[in-house]
Amino acid sequence: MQALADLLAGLPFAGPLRRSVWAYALVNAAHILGIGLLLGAILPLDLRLMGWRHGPPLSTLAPFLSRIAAAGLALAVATGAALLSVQPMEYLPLPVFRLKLLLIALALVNLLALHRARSWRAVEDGGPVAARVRWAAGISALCWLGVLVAGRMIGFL
Amino acid sequence: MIRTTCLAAVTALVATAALAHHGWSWAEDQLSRLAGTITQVTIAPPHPTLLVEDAQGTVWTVELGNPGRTQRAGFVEGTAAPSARVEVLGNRDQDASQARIKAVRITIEGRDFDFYPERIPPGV
Repeated sequence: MQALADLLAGLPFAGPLRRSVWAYALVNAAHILGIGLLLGAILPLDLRLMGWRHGPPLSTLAPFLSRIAAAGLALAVATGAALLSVQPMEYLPLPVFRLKLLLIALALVNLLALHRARSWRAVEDGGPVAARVRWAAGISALCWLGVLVAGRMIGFL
Repeated sequence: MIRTTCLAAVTALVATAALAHHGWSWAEDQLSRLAGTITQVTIAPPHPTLLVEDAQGTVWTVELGNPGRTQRAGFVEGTAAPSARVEVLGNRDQDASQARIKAVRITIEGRDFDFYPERIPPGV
């Protein structure tokens, strides 16, 4: 853990972020934007996959919202690593922070497995939503909401 | 019922923890003074803090201003180092078991750093 902390603290932007009020606040805002894009795209998609009937066809929604969510995730991960680099040892040992990382890992495993499945391609091609896909959508929604709550709790526990 | 109680307990716990750092409602109304030796300086956002050991050996968490206020007060990286003597003027945690104080001013080697000038009474 100390090695990881040293690695993060040694990132070139860690120093400026530590000293600059503006840089830290802007990266923090970008982190929130990433979370907003990710959750704002993935939750409607998950709900739709789970059987919510309203809205455009899934063959249109699924590729579009997946890509928005991926962009949000990339932004959130990059800015999250930058925020972490400011004081790694303040966060790495926290149980709630570790829970957040675990939930992100679970969500990623779930999403990689789903996107490799034939049933996902069927959805993108406008076919029916298999039970496999509905389950994955439910797991996805729970994981990302869990990530959100665990992340927010870092500042409070 | 049990669930409601648990939820209330968790909410109360979270709310109490959240009050530290932000606002003053968790702190006493009157100002207190604390003198001691700095053992750790954390200037990094989001919450600049000092750890200060008093004469009794108690280690206090001294919350400085938010990052912007701390910088404007003139307290930046390298301003203070561990083993320096410091005097703190600030509001203590209402919970006396918590060695925590929110600084309005700290003084190091005769130099004042005023994080919340508007909270320092005239003549102090």
